[in-house]
Amino acid sequence: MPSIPLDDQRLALRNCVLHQMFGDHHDWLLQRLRARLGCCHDAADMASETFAQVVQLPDPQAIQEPRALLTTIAKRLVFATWRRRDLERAYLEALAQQIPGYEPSAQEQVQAIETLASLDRILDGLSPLGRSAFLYSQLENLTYAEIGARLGISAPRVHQYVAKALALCYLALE
Amino acid sequence: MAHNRLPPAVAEAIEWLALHRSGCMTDADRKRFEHWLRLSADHPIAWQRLEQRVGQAFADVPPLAHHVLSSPAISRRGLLRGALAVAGIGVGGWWLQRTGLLPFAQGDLHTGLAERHAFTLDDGSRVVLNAKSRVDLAFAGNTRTLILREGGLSIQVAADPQRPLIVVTPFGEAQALGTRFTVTLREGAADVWVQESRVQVKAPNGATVQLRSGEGAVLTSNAVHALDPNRAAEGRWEDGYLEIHDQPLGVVIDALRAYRRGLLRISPEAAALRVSGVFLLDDSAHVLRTLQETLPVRVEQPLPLWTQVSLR
Repeated sequence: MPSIPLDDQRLALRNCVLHQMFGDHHDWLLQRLRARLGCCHDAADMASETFAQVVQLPDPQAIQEPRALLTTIAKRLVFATWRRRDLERAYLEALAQQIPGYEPSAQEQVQAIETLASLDRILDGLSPLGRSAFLYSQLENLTYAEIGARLGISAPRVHQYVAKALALCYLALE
Repeated sequence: MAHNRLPPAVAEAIEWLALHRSGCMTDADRKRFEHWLRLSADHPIAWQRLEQRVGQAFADVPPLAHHVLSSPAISRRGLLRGALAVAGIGVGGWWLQRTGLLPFAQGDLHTGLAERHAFTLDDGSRVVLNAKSRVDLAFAGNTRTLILREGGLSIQVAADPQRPLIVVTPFGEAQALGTRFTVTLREGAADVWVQESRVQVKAPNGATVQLRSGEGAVLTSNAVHALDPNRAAEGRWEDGYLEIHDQPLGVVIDALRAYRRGLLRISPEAAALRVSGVFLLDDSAHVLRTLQETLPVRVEQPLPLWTQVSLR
């Protein structure tokens, strides 16, 4: 009788582990997410996505605390989703308050939100004030004295914010 | 700190670029900068790479970027995430609830988007929450208090002469005198409709009115006004139908918001159109289609999360 190749054995074990994990913890995770999100559709999506990410892990057999891992992944997903929604909402609100002449097409809006989301990720870690200081410099070429006057902070503080934002841009595109 | 992960040449290039943009670079600074560029082969490379990456990041910046990216609304959760990483998983839920980012606290009644739910309270009273609603319970020895925080509720009160049941809102309260009634929060006001028996409503300024079956009142922070009895059906959303008689279209759109994800906006002109009909709350897409077919309005969805209703 030919022996099963090692890779197949590992694959079978892996599937078995994942299967068991799903059976043991899916309902628990779904319940937790439901209680947190208050929406059963969102919760189901997040739970599926969480397990989809677990499936992609290189070595699920090594997981010691499945519920801690699932919670961590789910929490990250929830935050990412919320943040994205907040950003979309902020964009749409800003758009709605604009002068009537400016009306980007649906396509342009989708692109704008994509770009804003990627800039938002790049500038993650900078406070709204810090972002504002940097964006005045980056987008409007204001001097630090002018920016400081607008935001009620000192010019050296503006310098610090700009330097931090530049570092974030550099690191993000590495 | 991000700076620590940067090669020294890049960290220096960043300081130079920040100085270039300051608006107060002197001739002496410029000479020092040129000297720095020649000092090492790494320096011009770092400088170019930095400029290139920043340029790349901001290559296609859409209008409104400044406004959106520095909006406190989007940074709030970023800060929260940082705090959670420190606080750990167990504390996370509690903290989120305290900051109001999670809709509900444990033990309270709540419903999510597009979800109505019936609850039976300890005293046997039956409460139905409209979508996106939240109620805190405060049952003590001789009072039964429901605090409506968000949305709307319909309650069938279990009679208990010893313990009055009161629904509290920011705009006043409604005390049951053995009965069935609904309370709905709106912007700056609360609507109360009585379906059975009597309810006493009280505004924060002390004005009280007794409502009988079929009557309704709107509570604001300084007054109680009777509602047109022809609108009584508006209080009966419990079974998922919104019945409207000759009301502004804005009323229908307001009711749909708790059932539809994202922004649902209506232009003031369209909101003023008069409308009558029975609308199925659970199928907002169908309602919007119907409105478009029967009224001179256009319903557009420029993005999945944005629905706009305007005059045709």
